[in-house]
Amino acid sequence: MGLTNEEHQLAQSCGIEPMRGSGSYVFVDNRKVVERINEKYRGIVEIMDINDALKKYDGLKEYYWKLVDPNKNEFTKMAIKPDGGYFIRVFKNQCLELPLESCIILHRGREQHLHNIVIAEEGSSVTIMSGCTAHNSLIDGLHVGVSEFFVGKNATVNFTMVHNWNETTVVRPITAIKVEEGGTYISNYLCMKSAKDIKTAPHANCSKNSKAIFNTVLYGKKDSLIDIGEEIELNGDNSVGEINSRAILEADSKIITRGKIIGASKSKGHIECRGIVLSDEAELRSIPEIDAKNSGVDLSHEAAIGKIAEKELLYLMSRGLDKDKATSLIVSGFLNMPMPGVPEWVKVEISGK
Amino acid sequence: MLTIKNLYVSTPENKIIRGLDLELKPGEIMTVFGPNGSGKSTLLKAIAGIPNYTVKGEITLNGKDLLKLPIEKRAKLGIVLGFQQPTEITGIKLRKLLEICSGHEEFTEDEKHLIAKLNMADFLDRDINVHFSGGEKKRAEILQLLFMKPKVLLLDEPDSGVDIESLKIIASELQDYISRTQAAAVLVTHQGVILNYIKSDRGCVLVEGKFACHEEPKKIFELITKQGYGSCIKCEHSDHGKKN
Repeated sequence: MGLTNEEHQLAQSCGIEPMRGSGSYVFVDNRKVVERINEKYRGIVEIMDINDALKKYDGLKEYYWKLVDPNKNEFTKMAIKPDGGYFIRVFKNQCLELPLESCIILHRGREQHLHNIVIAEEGSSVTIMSGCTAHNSLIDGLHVGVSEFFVGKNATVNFTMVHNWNETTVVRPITAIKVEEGGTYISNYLCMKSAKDIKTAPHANCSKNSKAIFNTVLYGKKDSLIDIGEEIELNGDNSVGEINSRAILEADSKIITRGKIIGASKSKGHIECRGIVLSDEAELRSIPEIDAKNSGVDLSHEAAIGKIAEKELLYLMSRGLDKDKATSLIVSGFLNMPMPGVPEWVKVEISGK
Repeated sequence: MLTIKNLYVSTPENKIIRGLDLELKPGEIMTVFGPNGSGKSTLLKAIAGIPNYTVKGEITLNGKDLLKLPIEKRAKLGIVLGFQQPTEITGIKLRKLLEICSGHEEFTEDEKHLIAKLNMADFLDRDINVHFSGGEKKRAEILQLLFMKPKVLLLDEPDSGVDIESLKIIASELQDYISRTQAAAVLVTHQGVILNYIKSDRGCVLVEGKFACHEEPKKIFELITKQGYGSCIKCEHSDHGKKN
């Protein structure tokens, strides 16, 4: 059974066009509905359902559950026998100039438990666009997604994920990344719509001369609870870690940002958490943590939470904007931090807030 | 055009403007001098409608009462303020602000020409005033004001921090706009050099919240350069002593 018109529209609502890009994977409820590779990229990249990959590659012994402990918590245990998930492998020294696109949809099924594996082999380069969404009619959905990223030597993975859940969905992504020598992993995560409860703590382990960057843009609406805690472990000399977050909160929303960088080598890391709280009922907690375990580390953090700056408001109003429009423009500007590899539609999504 | 009568402007701590009158005619550029803290910027902000001040008296534009209007409505009417210290705003491009100022997204040929003349083409896709030099901020400020097609320009030290070449361009564009449109301007300056490139027939000194020494601006500048601001209060043309 393929993608229905309604499901196609759901994919588009989080910016994913299933027949675009170098390859696609779409998963609805508990079934894979799209799995394709653009002809041009055959032999350059593999994309298939995780359960097919487990059969094809004899259980993916080098990768499956190697970065995440299946017994870590109740949610990882739910994904021990996954309903599905994507397996992506970019072959050695291959570069995909077009992004791979994936979309995970909760439509009628209340729960889904996925396991994704991404392997970028030595010298390869890939951009992955991932959209996750739930149908408005779905009540009390649960999405559990385990993701393991293997970024090979001198390889680059640019992973952009847009979460577009509904107000009753509970979301538990469990993500771990291994970045080999000279590799680069960039995560751009955007959550601009309401969700009941999102909690995630992606963990990156960096080898010599490698880099991990997490950019996160969060818009807390209604009574959403979002708890994001990226952690980067700098285990190799000259490795670099960056965690940047921007959060806007309105209504009764609550956001916690907990960036942590551990410097266990001659490495450099920086955490920047910034937030604007628009409502007296909202709550934003920022907990940056830097942990030095080597005399050659250079770690720093800065966190700032505040309201809209009055002088910025007045400046824009002096150019003819009323207060609401000036506020909206400042908010969109605040969220519009540099995010490499993020496509134009995502920027439009942000600037529309 | 712009009429101010018996204006008082204060904060909870200070009485800044104390009974000031001003009549500004179309095409007229009035230069205001004054020592630091004399209330020059406050006067311009009060006319523009910046809140946080208690304003009493009368400010009208062609008979329309401005005091009842918020800042953005005064801006829409054509009362525009060029800030002494333009605000930096991260994440919003100068191009976007210029679109707001002009009221349209596609710049006209005249607007493109103005951007080029003020050497601001390379700044359009940068965040507003972020990492701009002092002179670049002032050029960006003039660009915004002229895109708004104002009736009254309130220019708070458009020459401070500006190199002489940029100053000539800024003054030339302001003068050209005012001559073409018969807009009026209140020009606050400490430097006086801008008066070599812009035609201002009226000047005055703001001291202790009132105008003193109504004179030809270059003469005032010579006087305060030689004798300081103290002599202005004693000047026969001073408003000081007329009323309190």
